[in-house]
Amino acid sequence: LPAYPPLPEDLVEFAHGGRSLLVGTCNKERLPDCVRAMGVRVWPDACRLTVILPAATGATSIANLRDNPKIALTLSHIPTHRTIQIKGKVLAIREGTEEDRELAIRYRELFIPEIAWAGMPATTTRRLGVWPCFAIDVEIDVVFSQTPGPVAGAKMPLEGAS
Amino acid sequence: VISLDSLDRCCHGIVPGVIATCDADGIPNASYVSQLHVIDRTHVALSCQFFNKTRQNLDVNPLASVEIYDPLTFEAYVLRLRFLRSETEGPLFDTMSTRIVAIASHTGMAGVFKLRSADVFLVLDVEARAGFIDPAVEGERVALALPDGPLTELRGLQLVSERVSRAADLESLLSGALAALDEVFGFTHGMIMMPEEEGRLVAVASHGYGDAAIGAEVRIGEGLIGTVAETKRLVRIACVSSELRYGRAIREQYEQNRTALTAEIPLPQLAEAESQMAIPLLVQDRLVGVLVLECRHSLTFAQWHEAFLQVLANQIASGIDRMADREDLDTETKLSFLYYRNDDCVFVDGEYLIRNVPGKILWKVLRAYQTEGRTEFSNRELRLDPSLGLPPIKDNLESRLILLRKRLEQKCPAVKLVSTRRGRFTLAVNCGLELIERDTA
Repeated sequence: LPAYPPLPEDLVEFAHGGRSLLVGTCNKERLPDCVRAMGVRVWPDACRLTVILPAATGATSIANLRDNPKIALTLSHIPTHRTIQIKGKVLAIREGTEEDRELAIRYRELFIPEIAWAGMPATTTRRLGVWPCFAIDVEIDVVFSQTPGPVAGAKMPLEGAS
Repeated sequence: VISLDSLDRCCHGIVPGVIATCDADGIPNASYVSQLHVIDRTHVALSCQFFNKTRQNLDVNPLASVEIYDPLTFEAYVLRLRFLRSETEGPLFDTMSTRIVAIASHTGMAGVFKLRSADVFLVLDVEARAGFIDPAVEGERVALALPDGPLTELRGLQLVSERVSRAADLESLLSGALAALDEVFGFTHGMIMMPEEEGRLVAVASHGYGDAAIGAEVRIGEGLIGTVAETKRLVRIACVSSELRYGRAIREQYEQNRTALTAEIPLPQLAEAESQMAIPLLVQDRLVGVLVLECRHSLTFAQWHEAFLQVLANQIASGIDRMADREDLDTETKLSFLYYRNDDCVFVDGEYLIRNVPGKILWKVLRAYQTEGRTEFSNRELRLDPSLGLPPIKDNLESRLILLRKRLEQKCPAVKLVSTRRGRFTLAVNCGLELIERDTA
C-alpha cells in the first residue's frame, strides 16, 4: 500500500492542467539531470502518478532512474508562479503507449497558453517533441510547496495526513 | 563546442531555466533558475534569493545540471555545472543584486526580497538538447532578434557623439541623444531624468512619449530607475511582465504571512514595456542623471548594448556636466498663479504647475515682472539669489529652467521663458496675471 496520503483534489486538478513540468533525477554518482516532462496522469488512488518523458530528451534521465529510482517532479503555473514539487519512487519505466502519446499531445495543447506568458507562439510550442516517449510510474513520497517566497520548501498537507 | 557567449538570450529568464541538484542520499531536486549570469567562458553565477533545497544540496554535492531555453526558437541547452563558491559582496554580487533590488522595489518589497548570494559555478559542459523541439516547418515564421554588430555600433557612437558635441544647449543635447538612439538602434522610448532636491529624479527630456513624460518624478532608491540612481549601476530587464509576476508571486506569499509591505511602485511610462534598461549618467562617481530606455518587445536590449550604451552614457554625462558649467539658456486671458511658501509649490488656475527650485524661480520672475515690469533675466542673478537655494557649484540651473519651460509650455503657453543669448532669458507674457501667495494649502 502507498505510504503517503493521497493528493488532495485541488492538487490533482493542478497536476492535470498545462503546468510547466520538470523532472529531476540523478545517477548513483549523484550526477543530476533536469528535463521537461510532457504530461502527468494521477492515478485514481491519487497516491501514484505517471509522468511522460520524450525519448529524444529523456535518455539521461531514464538511465539515471534505472540506476537510482528516485524522482523529483516540479509542476508550475507560469502566470502565477504557483509551484509544487513531488518527490517519489519509481515503480516502473515503460515504453509509451498510444494512450501515453495522446496524453502528451493533449498536455502540449494545454501548455501552449501557459508558455505563451513567456512570449512563446503556439506554432513553436506545438513543435515540442513528444513521441516516442517513456511513461514513468511513480509512487508519491512527499509534496512540497515551491512557490517562490518565504514558505517555499514547506511540506504540503495532504488529504488524510495528520 | 557551444560557447556561453552565444547563449546570451537564453540567460534572461524570458523562458526560465531549470536546475537539478541532489542531496547526499541521492534524492533529486528540480527547480527554476531565477537569474543566470555568464561570468566568463567557463564560469556562470546563479542567484540565490532564498535558502532553499537547491542551495542546501549544493553544499553536500556540488554537481548541478541546468537546462536553459532560447526564447525565440525554444531550443534547449544543457549546462553541466560544478558549484565553486557563494559570493555575498563584490562586483558580481552587486551586478546581480541590482536587478533583484529593482524588481523588489517595484513590487513594494525593498529589503524583503533580496539577493542572498551569487553562487559561482564552473561550467563542465554545454550541449544542445537534441530533439527537444522539431525543426520549423517550411514557411513558418520564426521571430528573429534585432541585428547587431560593429557597423551599428560605430554608426551609433558617431551619431551620438556628434549630437552631444554639437549641442548648443542642454535641451538639444538631451533630445539629440535620445533621437540618435532611436535612429540607430530603434530605441523608440527613452527619457533622461536628472536629480532634484529631496532625493528625487525628474524627467527633463523624453522621446517617444509625447510631452507626458516631462516632469515625471521618481524617488531615488525606489523602483527600477530609483534603484539605478542609488546604486549607480546599470539594470537591464528583458522580460518585465515575467519579472514583475515573479515579484508579485513572492509578495503574495509574504502577504499571506502577514508581512507588512509597501505599495507597488508604478512602472516608468510605457505601460506595456517588456524591455527596460536604465543607465546611470556619471561624472566620476557623481550622478548627473539616468538614461531610461523602454521597448514593447522583450530582447530589444542585447548584452553588447550594455557596454556600448555605457560608453554613450559617459558622453552624455560629460555633456550634461559641461553644460552645467556654462552660462546659457532659456526663457510667454488672465492667469491666476498661486504660490505656497511652505513647499514652493505653484498652481496656475487651480492646477498644479511646478514646485521646489523651479517653482521659486518662476515666482521670482513673475513678481519682478508684475512689480517692476522686468522681462529680462540672467542665470547669474538667479545663481546669486540666496532665496532660491541653489548650491554654489553644479547647481543644475539649466535643467531646472528646461523643466520650468516645458511645464509652462504644457500648462500655460501664454507665459514663456525664451532664451535670448547665452545665460539670459526673457519672460514673455501674453496675458494678464494675478499673483497670490499663501503660507500653506
